[in-house]
Amino acid sequence: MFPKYDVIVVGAGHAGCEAAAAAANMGSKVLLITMNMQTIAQMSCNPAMGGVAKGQIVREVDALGGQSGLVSDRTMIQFRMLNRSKGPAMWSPRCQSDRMLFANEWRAILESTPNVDFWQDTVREILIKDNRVQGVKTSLGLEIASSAVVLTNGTFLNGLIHIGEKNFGGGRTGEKAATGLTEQLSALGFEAGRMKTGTPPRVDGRSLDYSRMEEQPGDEQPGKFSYKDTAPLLKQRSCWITYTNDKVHEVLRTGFDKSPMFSGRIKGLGPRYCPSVEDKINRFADKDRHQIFVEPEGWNTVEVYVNGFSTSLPEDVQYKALKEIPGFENVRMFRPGYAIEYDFFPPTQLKLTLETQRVANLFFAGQINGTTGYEEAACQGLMAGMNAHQNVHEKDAVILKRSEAYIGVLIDDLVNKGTEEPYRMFTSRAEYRTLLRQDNADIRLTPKGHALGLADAERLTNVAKKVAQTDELIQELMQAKVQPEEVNDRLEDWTTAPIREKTSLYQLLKRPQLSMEQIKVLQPRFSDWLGTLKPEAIEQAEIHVKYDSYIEKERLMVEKMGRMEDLMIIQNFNYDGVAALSFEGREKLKRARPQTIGQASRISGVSPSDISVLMIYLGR
Amino acid sequence: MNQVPIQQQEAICAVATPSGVGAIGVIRVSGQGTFDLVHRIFRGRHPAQVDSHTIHFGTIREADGTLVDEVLISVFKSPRSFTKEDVVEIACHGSDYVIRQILKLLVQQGARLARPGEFTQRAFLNGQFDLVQAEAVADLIAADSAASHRTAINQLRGGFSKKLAALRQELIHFASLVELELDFGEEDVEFAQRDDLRRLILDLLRAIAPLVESFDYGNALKEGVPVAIIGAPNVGKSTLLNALLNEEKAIVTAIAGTTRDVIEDTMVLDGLKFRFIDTAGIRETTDLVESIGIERSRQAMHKADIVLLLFDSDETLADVQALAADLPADKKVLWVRNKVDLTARRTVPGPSPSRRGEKSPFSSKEKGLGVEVYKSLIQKIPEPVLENARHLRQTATEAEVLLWELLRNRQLNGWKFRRQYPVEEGFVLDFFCAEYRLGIELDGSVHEETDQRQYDTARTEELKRLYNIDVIRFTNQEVFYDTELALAKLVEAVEAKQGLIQKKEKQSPLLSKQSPFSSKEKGLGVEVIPISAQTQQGLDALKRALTAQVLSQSTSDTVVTNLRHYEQLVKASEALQEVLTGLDLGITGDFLAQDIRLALHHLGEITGTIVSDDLLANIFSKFCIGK
Repeated sequence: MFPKYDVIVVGAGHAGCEAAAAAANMGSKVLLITMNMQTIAQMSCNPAMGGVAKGQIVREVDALGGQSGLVSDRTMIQFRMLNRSKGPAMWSPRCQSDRMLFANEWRAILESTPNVDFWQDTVREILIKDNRVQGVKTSLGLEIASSAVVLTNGTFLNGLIHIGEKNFGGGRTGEKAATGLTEQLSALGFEAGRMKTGTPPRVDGRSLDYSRMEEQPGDEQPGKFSYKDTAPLLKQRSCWITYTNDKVHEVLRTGFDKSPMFSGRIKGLGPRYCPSVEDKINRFADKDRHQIFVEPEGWNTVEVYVNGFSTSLPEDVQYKALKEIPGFENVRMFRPGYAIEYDFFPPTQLKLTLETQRVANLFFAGQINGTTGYEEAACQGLMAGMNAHQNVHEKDAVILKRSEAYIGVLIDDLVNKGTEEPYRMFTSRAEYRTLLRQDNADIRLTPKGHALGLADAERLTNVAKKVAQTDELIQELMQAKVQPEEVNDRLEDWTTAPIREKTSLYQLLKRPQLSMEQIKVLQPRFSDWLGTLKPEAIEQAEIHVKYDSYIEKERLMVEKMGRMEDLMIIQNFNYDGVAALSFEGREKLKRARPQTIGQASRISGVSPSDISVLMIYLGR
Repeated sequence: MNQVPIQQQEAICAVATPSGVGAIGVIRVSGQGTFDLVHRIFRGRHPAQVDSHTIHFGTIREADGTLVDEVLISVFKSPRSFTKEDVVEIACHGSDYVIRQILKLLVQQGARLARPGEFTQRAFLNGQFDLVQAEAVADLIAADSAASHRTAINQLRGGFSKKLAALRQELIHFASLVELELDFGEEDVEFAQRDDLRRLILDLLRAIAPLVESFDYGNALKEGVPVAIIGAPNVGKSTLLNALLNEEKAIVTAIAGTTRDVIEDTMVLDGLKFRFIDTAGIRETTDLVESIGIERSRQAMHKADIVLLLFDSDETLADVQALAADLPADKKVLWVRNKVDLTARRTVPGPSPSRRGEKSPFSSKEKGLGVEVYKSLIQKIPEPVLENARHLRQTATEAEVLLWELLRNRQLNGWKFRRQYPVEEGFVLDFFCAEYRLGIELDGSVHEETDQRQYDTARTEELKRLYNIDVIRFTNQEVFYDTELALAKLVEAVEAKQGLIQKKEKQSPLLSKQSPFSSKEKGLGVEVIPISAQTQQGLDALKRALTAQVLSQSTSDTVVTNLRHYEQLVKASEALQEVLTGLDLGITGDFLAQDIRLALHHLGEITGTIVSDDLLANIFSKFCIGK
């Protein structure tokens, strides 16, 4: 019934979809197995993509030739560039998505990708021989052969949903949990753990009084995620902001005795940065209000997502508390919020390719690795899909460095440090974040994506053009000089110091008070020429002129550390044979099996002298 | 690993010879920019302009031209060197002190101290060894680093580590606030005010500065505080030296010293090590030919931290005064009159033994036409008082901090002020200028109460009576809002006392001929310690004066003695300065964070590294984050 596949992807969420698309686009024969063909690419939590640090990831996925950016652009209902008031490395694209369109678009893309087959079923067992993947066995009893398997089970492995004192098995509300896999993998020696996350109630938008809330409209000139020429938004829908108050907190507290969180029924650890509303009022009792973002779920639906109100209290308490929120007085609830516990496998059991150390050609991506977020899942899926393809075709592994991409930071963190709580990306996790900007993900990654056969030629041409124009513009700015008498009046108007001698536009643009707009005024002949350049190139040049010293500082750091990142450690290196290693360092190294010296240096417990010792042993 | 093309890494330096034993010490510098770096401290040929494998004579000098040592440098050009990088080896005299000074200069010029085995590691990475050699080196590195780790832990006990830990906490908090703003800017959280951030950075810089400054002092403690005994022939230098050393026979050692063939004597007092310079000169039995003696004395005085000027008559006093005239203002000087058993008692009515008390010898001071006697400030201050002063220093009020910023480091007309200065009776003066015996007290609201005012008045009178200390008072208000006016008043007060001194000198021109404690001995502010080296009279006072000089030198309770710690502290404050500059320019938080992280990194080299997880943990524990 089935041919032998190169890659079987289990699960069709953000990770699974990217994995299937990547492997197939690179040329692998792919089977995507999902429990329900109707819920491909579901946004199971809030209907939004991007955000601080996450938006950068979506752009990286796009630059490499992934699909999430394209899907987001085609299905968004609002776009905002967050952190505009901060440095360019902080600018973070975020969109509000039409939940149903998003899923449809993904399914359409996958259906039109040659090499992707679909099968609706539940995988119960991984077929393994000699520690190497042979295929999967499903709940229907089918054995499907493949060279590699990518597991992207999300919250479905032994998923347990809690609402108040009720709890029941399920991977999402209304969907069954998946059983069997954890047990099999544990029997093979994999270590498994338990995590928890939650989601807020959904309500009827027609029952809300928006006049009592603050409007949060999209950007006047909306941007987008993809470096390809997707169309920008012409119209947008607004989100709305309101706040909880003492009354809301009071009502919520009446449900605390039935809370699965406080009663200890929930064992898994939830994310500290995405607490439930009951957690917020419990831990930060002195805060008299919490922000609520009211987010529309699409163009044509009245369903609304109550962001900031994640809860697992009994549904009647949820309802009563909601009614105390300004604007929610007459609220009608569509679905209650809930908490869900699920199995994950501590990601320290992985290689940097997301292949498991234990079983060859078995890859994990997404929440199964202890992460949270669509963006985090999508990028892991992409990397796992790429590496599965590379493995099957005996090609080099694809590993992004910490200095190269947020994706590199994410996987390096997971594999080297593991995670206790659901892992979410923050800009502060990236030591080279000044380099990892949303405006340059294409320059950083598209050449790589293209070389791997994932990013198409058009993408590469675009990047080349952008880089060439950026360089040309910077050269021009350095050469074009103005005299004091030409510009000093204007400079004073702009409250910046007049110049005393002939000065280059480059020097002027460095001033915090001046931007390219002012440069155009100072040098009108420039203005026409700038009109012929790509706006991305102009932005790129401006960033480089203004932040040159900071970018350079970080680049030097990368160079300094770079050598360690390039030093590979032999796969089966015998740490026990090195007496000079500290005891703790040796144990940690044996466990983590780092692939490079740089990676080894980030493992806690491995001292600088251990690194020196290692470098000497590996010197030949 | 494949053969890596030779790539010069950042310059590192370290001493290559064993510590404290050899006549010659070798410091090795390797890496990118080594030649330029060495050139900046070496007076001699530019290493880049000479052939590889050649040796050159020259001097190492500090930025102000002060000679550190005469050295030979060996130049090895990449790839023909141990590490295959550009290498300079500096052969200097084998004293730990000289070696440290040179390393310090190299670090100031941008070299980094090498980690254990780092030269070898570079050599190895550039393909210098085979595996067997490498394994031996690996064992060595492990052993070395264990030893240095132990040392580091020993040095990190007590105040230093506590202080740094506190700094680190503050900085983590600061960094968290900035990160909060960056990663959670969309959420309903309060952000750090830039002014608060600036204040915090200033606090940090203020806290690190004395630690950095204490390095020289800490170094001196380790090596021994250099002391020179200077005086005309036959004033009893040798007797005094022997008297001091004999007392401490058990711990007197004669070690090979900093210069080729000089023997130096050391003694330990109250846990402080003193090193007597040019004792060979002192011990020579025949009197020195005048010119040689003076030259030798000048050299000794230059090297010393504390100069002990010894005299026994007006003639010999004039000799040391002539020498002392050239001394830099910050040199610690003790004026010691020897042979008081033969001379002093005869000419000056000293204080009666009953007034003097057993343990508090009085130094005498001329005032007006008679000789009035004030208590010496060099007393053994009772431990509770010291403790109180220390506490007050640590918990300085904002007004005190502000005024100290204006007074410290002789900023005001070159006058030396100390803060939280204790006297034996238990008072602690907020600020004190010993030279002019002027105290400054800052009054907060406490001092406005009647009781307190009466106490203050009584205290002021007693200070005047016992020590001739005048006290000038400011309210916190005055310091904050009328800073200029307050400083003007202060200048007036000091000048008044200066005037008094000068006037008195004019009034009693004859006295100098008659009294051994004449004003010529350097004005009112200088005490003369009367001793008899022969009978050992006054030796205790002299020793207390020596230790007091050292202790007053330390502006911080915590002393940095480790060059690596010093290096990291300097780099941390540089990064903090960058943050400050960034705040002035109004740059955004992400760029501020870059420098804050750098500062954290350097502090982390001492206190343990801080990772982004620590910052996030701090954020999550303090702020309600998340939708």
